[in-house]
Amino acid sequence: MTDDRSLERAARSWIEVGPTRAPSRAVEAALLRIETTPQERALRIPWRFTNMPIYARVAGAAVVGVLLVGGAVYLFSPGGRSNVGAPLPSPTTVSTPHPSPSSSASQALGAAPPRTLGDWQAMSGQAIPALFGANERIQLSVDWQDGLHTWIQTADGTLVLKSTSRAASADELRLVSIAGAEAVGCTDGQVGRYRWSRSSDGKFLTLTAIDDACTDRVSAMSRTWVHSLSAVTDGGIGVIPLDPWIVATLPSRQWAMGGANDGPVLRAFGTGAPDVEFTIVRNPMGFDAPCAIAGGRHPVAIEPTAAAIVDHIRGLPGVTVTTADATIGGRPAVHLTVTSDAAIECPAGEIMAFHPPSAAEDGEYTMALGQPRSFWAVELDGDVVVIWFAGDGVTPTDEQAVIDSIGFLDRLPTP
Amino acid sequence: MDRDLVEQARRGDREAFAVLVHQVSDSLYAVAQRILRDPALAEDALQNALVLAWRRLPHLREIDRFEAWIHRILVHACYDESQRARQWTANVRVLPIDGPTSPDGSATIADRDELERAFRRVPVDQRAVFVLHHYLGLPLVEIAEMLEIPAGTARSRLHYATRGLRDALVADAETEAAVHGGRLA
Repeated sequence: MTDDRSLERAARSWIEVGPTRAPSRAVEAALLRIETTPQERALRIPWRFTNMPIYARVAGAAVVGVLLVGGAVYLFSPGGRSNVGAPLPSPTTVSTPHPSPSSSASQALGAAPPRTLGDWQAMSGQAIPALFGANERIQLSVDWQDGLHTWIQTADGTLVLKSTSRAASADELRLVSIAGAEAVGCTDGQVGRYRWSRSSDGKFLTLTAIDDACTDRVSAMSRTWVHSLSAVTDGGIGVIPLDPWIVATLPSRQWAMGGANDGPVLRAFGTGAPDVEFTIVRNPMGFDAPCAIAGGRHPVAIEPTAAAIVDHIRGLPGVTVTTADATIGGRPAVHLTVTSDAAIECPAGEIMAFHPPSAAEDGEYTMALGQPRSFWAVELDGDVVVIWFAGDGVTPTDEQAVIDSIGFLDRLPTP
Repeated sequence: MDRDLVEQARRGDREAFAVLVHQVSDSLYAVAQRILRDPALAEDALQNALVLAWRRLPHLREIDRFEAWIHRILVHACYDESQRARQWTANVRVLPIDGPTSPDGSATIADRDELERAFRRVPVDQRAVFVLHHYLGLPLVEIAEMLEIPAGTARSRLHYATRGLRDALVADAETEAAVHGGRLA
């Protein structure tokens, strides 16, 4: 059987033998896993917004769902869950005048106060052994979707202290721990009452325990939290967990974060939302074949300086760049205004300009041919951060306002 | 493949994806089983491929290439599973089995055993090309496109898989002869 012809004949016959149907248990098990698995958000972010079917202006639930899942991918991966959900009308507080704590566990669910909704960042400070280590980033989430659930997410993506909200007075956040792994830290049904206050600029949320039998929850939650622009936010001032922290002020509308850990993208969403995005990518990489579609290109490093970013963009096919020196958050920066020749041959009709280092295969920032672009390269102690705020209806004044609001922080701000 | 289903699944519709899964899972499993030669590993590869496909579906750019795309994910899942398996099978010694040789060289039971043993010695990336070519009947150019490798690489993997299969069969035959001759007894 070892001559080539007989071998090939035998091998073909042999390879046909075997199962041709997938075991249903394997398929069902996969589908079960998929039920709880979020999709990754495509990082293909065209700079030409009119060609973005996935982010079309019609803010259907499915469209936004994809977007929001991206926030989940970004936020405390792996395995974590961000404060995301389908867009619903703004929750309203269901208030009752100071119900007695003893009745809270059996009381009906009530949404948390609207100004507490969203995500909040803090450093853990002292370790709480059952929950998290010392000086780790932790995130408090008050469910943006309906305000009915609250949890803390640790740096490794674990959810802890998950609780449901109960109706309470306007200045109180009332929580009841729930059963299950995500409630770690408290026992089922423990009631906690917290006074909350938010700073006038919206940057800080301070929680103070009124009473709570769950001591770990008291230790974890009683602190001042910093408003996070990840993963779902109504805009305003907040921080983005990059290295270093970035603080910025976004226009007042709903934003959802997606992208990668080194390339977060905040995109406007909601009914009638314009196609606008705020993107930050740290130490971006380029492609050796920026006109090639997936599979025909490979990552290339770009030196982490603003000058190297300018050189990289100038090296893209058919691109013209003008630059102006600038300062962002006190750091030296370059403002790039980019135009491209609509007539050059790029099979995809767009140029692949960058990708986040962590997403060489899946993430790309593209530039539609013939469309002008504006972005900024900021130097940060050996790193470079590329930033843009752009989209439908964004004027140079709007862009400049966001750029001027940006700061780079070695640690979270304090009141 | 229904483009609408793929598009719906790409936008996060789990029901649409479930329909797609039922359409492609038989083919995926059959390929995985033939590459890995182990039903349990093939099931794991299938599961992992389906979950990964769901996660990464928003990245799929060409909807018409969904089947090729998900087969590529499966092949990579097979690579991962084969690595996992190697840790447990590195010390397994496959003993030769006696049996008649078919006069016309077709796959008798003994031949199939020989092929089975020989195929397991072929590197998994070569096995993948061999299965895609001989089982799915895909041309090498299409395999190269599917696996995102140069066409020359696909061709050489098939060549080396066939040669490896032949060499392993020859080695088995020699071992068998040696055993029967008493040299290794």
